[in-house]
Amino acid sequence: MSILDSIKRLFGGVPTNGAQAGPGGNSSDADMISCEDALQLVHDYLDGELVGVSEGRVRAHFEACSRCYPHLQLESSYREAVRRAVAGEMAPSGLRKRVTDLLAEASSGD
Amino acid sequence: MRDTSTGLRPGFEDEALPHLDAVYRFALRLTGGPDQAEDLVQETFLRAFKSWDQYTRGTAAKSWLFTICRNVFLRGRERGQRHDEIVEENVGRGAAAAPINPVWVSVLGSDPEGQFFDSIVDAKIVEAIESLPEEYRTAVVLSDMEGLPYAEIAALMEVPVGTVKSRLFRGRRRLQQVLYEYAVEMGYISKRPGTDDS
Repeated sequence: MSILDSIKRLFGGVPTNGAQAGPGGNSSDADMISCEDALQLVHDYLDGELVGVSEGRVRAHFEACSRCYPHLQLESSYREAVRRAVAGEMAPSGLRKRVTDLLAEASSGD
Repeated sequence: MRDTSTGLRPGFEDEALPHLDAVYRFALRLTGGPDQAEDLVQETFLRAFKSWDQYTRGTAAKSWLFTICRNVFLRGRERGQRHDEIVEENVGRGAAAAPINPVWVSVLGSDPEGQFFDSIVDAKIVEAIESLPEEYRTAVVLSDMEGLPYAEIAALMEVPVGTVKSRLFRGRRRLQQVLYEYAVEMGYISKRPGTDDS
């Protein structure tokens, strides 16, 4: 690390591995969201429904915070399990024909 | 104005029929049984077909079909089939009030990646979903299984987005609790000492 970098870091100008930068920090990592905010946003984040905060900021918190990360992982595992449980679940083969027959009948009655 | 190949209304075959499997899955979660689900699907498509001219082509056909499906189901239920508990609606609370999931706290020590979910058979997960009250179940199924955006779920359920989020929050927590307890019971995960009150 150069002396210049050391000085910058000392004054909060360089983010320190994404972790809590000082209040003087001016990069996007410097205003890291809190653990409480991250946990509150975990559903919006996974659902792609974040409003007013970027995906990158939320991701940055989970990547840097070892306490919150498992909460994201567990929530993801839950979603995968639920999706897997119904994957490939299809309508019985006869149903499509019954539906089209029904519609053809309704159509002829117009 | 007929689609001569099928005798169906123009566009219906291309826009509505491809969602038959999705509507069937949704109907299964609502009714809990294949026979009732098939009846519900037929009624849904018949109504959709009859009101096809009210549908704006190229918009969210799947949501529109889900809306009809749910309305038909709820109307049938009013005639006295199944009565769910009334769910508590505290919009605005939920994630904000309890950001830490107590189920995750119980598993963090022994299974921080949630591998216990992989051990639970699909049928058990489906059973747990179907045991949720309808308001939670519909929100969870539409979001977690069908991937609908909050706004579409809100329009479909005729509630504000905040209510959808609250129902999702509560429904998911309840489902996670049920699946966790099942996993403990089956020995897929060891119960964390000192969490008997969970």
